[in-house]
Amino acid sequence: MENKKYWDPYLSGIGLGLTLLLAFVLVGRGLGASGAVMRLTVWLTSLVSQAHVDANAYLAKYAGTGINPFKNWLVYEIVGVIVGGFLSGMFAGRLKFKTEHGPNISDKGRWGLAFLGGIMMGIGARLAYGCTSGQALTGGATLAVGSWAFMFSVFIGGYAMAYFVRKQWL
Amino acid sequence: MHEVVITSGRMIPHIDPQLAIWGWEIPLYLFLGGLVAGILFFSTYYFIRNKKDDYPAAVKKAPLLVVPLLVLGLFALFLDLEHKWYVWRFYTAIRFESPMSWGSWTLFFIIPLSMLWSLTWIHELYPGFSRPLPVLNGFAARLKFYRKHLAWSLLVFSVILGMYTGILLSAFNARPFWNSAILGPLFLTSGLSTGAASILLLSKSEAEKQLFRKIDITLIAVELFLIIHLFMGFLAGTQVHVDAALMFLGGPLTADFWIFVVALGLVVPLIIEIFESRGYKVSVKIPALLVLAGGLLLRFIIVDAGQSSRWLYKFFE
Amino acid sequence: MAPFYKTGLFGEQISLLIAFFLGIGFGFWLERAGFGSSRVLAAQFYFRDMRVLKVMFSAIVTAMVGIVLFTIFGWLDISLIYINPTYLWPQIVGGLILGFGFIIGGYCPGTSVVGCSTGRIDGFFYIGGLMTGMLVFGEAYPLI
Repeated sequence: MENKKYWDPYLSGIGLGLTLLLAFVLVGRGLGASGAVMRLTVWLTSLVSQAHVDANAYLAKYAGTGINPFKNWLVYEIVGVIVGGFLSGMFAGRLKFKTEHGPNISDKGRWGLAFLGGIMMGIGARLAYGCTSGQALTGGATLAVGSWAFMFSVFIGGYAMAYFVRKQWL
Repeated sequence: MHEVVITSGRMIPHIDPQLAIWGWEIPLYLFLGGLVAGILFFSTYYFIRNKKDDYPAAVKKAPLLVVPLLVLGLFALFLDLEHKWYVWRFYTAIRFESPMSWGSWTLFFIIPLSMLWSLTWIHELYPGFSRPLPVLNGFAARLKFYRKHLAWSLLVFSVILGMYTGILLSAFNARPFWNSAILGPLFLTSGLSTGAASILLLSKSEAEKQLFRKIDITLIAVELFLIIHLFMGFLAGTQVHVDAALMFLGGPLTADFWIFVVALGLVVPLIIEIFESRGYKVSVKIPALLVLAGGLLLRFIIVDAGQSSRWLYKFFE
Repeated sequence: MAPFYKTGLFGEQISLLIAFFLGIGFGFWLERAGFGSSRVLAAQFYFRDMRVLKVMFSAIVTAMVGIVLFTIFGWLDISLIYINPTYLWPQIVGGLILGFGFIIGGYCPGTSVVGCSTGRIDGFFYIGGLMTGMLVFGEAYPLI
């Protein structure tokens, strides 16, 4: 399969684990992703209406008047993720504009499902206080009880739904 | 009793302890000035070396951007002027010791010269452009014979313009962070690099892209070297200069400077361009746009840092 | 003694700089593992390719063993490390919704960023959806 080009999963996992360990050692926290996307979202909302953001306590926490939503650890980390992903893709010759899906679905169908999945993921990640990076990976490594429950729940959800969207991938 | 005799820019009112009078206008102008200098430099240099048909984007196409960019830059500069209707006073004096005088006279010559320079290339690239104005057509046709003269004088002025944008800041001794002789060459190099980047964006020939990629790689390397030396110089200086440098070494500008200017504006495009120059296809646009954004941000951060870097003026407290 | 930021070895600005470099590492390894590709990620849920589980498991074990060892050696003060608080029900329910989103959308937030940076168009749509979902949640939050 085309996966041959990727590095050995255990090796990549150890690399990922060491990066995570370094984060714990240097700054005392793990990695994350959804927090940065949230900040971007709220910042865009505040451009439309700052008053609206200020009125909602949950949003105001991120970008109320006088708060810079981007002066945050996760935001700088995600900028790094973009660079790291790009460079790795470049070295491996994997940079290419394309849409990935199985043979039984069109590009447009895949885009629609990606958008829908994104919405669910956005709601789920906010509800669970983090996503696969911030909860499963980081919380998993620190043996946080809730994070392990979260992780099992993600896999259950994924496997339960997999049958219904099999046309997208197989 | 203390007797304090100071002769410096610090005697101007509102200079100490911090300056907050330059907003977005000056850094934008400095960026556009450097960009124009870079474009004109490469255009005239390769014209003089008789490469106008080998490197058409550099020699012919890029200079067409110069006039609009200059107009935009001067408009920003004009917005910044406190006494807008006294602009002409710059031209009543020639003062070799004042960078502003250098700058205003350079612009005085560079604007008409670059208009003529663009005109001659518009005429060559799009011969039909002057159909409504036959006079212009005849003029442009005649201008062709003076290209060499134009090229030489613009080459000289473009270097002065590129240097001056840095010296404008460094000559101002009241601001420790600007008070470094490295700023002139740094801004010149950065201007040339942004010029090369914009040529990369315009170019359609692979040989030309490859040349400007290599030029850009060299310029970025020089820029990184100059930035390191800028900080070495500050750290070896007086306490005020050390304090100024510390704004970038743990102080409030650290993350933004090293991430967005140095990493994203210099190192990442450097890596991509080296990779591309070895024949891998990645993208021409991404490194070029990163270089342009990095150059703009460099001006913003340096203008900002200079304004908030300060002298320790214990006598007055 | 680690964690160095919390014990005051460097300030906030340096920590942001470190965040950037750690992010490069994070993105690099995710891409190397193949997580920039939604097909690789989705294959996990059809038992075609167990990469996701292998990578996540070895990453968690590596980091966990490191933390335990460093704590035993007395290098790391574990009480200063941020540990995700437990809110069991939100995490279980959120996890389920997230799992649905994972297999429908093909990415999780971190991997979608890597997908985008390597040019996956579905990744851009996914992030658009992600932002929409988060906005919906933020808007609905005061009602809960």
